[in-house]
Amino acid sequence: MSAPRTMALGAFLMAGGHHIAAWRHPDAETTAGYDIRHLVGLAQMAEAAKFDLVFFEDAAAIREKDPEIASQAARSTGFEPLTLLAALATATTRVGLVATASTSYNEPAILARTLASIDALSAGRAGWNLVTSASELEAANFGGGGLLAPLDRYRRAEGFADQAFAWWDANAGRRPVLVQAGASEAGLQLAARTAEIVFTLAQTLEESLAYARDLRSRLAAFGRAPDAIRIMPGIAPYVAESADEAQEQYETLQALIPDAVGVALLASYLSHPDIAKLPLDGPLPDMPENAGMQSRQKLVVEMARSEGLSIREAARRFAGARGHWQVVGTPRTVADAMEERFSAGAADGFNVMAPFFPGGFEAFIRLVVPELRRRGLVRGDYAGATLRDHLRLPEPGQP
Amino acid sequence: MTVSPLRGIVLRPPLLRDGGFATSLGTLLEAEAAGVDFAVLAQGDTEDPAIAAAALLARTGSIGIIVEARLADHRPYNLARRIASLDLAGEGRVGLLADPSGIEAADEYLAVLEGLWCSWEPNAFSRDRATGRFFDPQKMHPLHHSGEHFSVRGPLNVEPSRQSRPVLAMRLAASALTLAARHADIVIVTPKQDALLAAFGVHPERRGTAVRVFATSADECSMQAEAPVPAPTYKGPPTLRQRLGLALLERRS
Repeated sequence: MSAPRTMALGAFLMAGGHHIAAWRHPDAETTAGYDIRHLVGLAQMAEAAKFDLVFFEDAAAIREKDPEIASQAARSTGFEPLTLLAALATATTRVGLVATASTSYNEPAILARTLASIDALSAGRAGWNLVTSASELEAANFGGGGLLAPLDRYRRAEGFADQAFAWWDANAGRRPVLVQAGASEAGLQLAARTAEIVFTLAQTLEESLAYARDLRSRLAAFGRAPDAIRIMPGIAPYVAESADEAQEQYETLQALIPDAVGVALLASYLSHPDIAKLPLDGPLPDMPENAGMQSRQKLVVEMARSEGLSIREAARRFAGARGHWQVVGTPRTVADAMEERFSAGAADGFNVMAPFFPGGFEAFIRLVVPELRRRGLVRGDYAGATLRDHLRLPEPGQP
Repeated sequence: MTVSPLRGIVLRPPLLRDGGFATSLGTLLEAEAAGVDFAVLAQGDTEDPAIAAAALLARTGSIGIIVEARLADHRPYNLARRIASLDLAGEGRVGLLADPSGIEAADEYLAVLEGLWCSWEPNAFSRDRATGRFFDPQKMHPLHHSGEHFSVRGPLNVEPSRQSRPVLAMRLAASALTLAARHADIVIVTPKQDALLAAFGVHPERRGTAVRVFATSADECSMQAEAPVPAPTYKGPPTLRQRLGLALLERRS
């Protein structure tokens, strides 16, 4: 008899927090970019709350070209995520360890060896978030030939993944769990063929449901069962005992975003540097297709258009969770929102993006996790040892 | 008064697999207690010594860890970043043993590493919540390197460690004598390399800063160098650079 389906929980960790102004919050840790003990503490906190995994994003570059804007955000520097995972592996015993690495600026056998080393060290807890890298600042650190077009990046990523699989099968005897976030046509196809977890971005239930149906419908073509993949949208929860407190927490952070930083972040995600020069109280301009992040661009533009947001408003809204789904409210409100998407089949779990660390994450664990547990939505303890065990994923290559 | 020599050991694969990690950690803790200055983690075909280094740094307190890497395996930005990140996590205890085999552009490669390691002045990060200024943009120095083989904008996206710049080690080789003279903080010589060592000693491009010459034992599992004179004095836990009596190469404007 199979156990009831439960919600997977990922802790998306990021130095000061996911909110762009998090580091300015009085309860956020500003040493996070250089003191590894802070990140060790967060991973242990996630493990104590029985999270399935911790997750790190990455960019092999600073995030903003303009030094004036970069210097007002805390995201320019941080630990290299793969060696960071290795440090966390020695300080934890159960939680899955997922980090991001690019197929554009690594070599398959070398990256496969690094990931296999983390998997060996952690006894089967490693995961790799495969990205193709869409940032011009990264491209400039690797030859300066500019960014490849999305399709060329995905073509390289496909071959890369196959070579990594071959290396693991020949040398490691076990594959780290493969995670992806692509939502373009090429990204969806690659995920359908290779991903075991997809980390998605969707504002509404309808969008996330449409995404899940689309992705699952593609699995059969690659000989995979519909449940061979875990869909984990990002959620940025602002939670407190009362709705008023939660709202206040959200607004406190929003008020700390300098206009220049918010607008620059929006301009960068939209690959549209001219936005900063337009009147901030006016609407977003028309967007041409570009080589950057297509799916996010579409999402932000649609959100701004449908709600009639000005550039400043769109920038603040977007900067808050970088385009991810935000829920502000009581533990019940947040749990209701998660349950709705989980029960509808739009999500198998969530990558939790605390607005600031450690306070915002601690609040989620203290207030929302027990509520989810009461509803029988998350499990009370780990059932196995490896990341695949936690997620009840089949070994790859088996139907 | 005699000054005891500097000492290093070499750990070879498996560093992680087949119970290797427990063995590596045991050896390292023993060496640390005995006052050994550093351990070199040698590269293997199926393991990444940088991953072993991260885990070993987390479990040790003062011993230096030097990670061997084939330059040909990594893009310069990635390697500079990974070593700098280990050095930051290890509070200034890390070095790179650069293996230049199989790469033509090693000289330019190492210059890029050194340049990226000088991306930030040591007091660049003010983290001033009230003014919203996380760092001083005047103290960030993108590299803007555009050379024959590499083009790297920078800056490195890792804060500088307590020793600012990781230690750079190289094995002495006839094919890489100039390379070592220009870039290495440490050169490692085997017992049969006397003539080469003599040539290194008078190499015209040898850097003005101190270079430590480590002679390996016959089995190449341990190595020694003359202690720096005078022996360095310092406050707080020593960085690897301090232990070896090497100059602190901080970025200044």
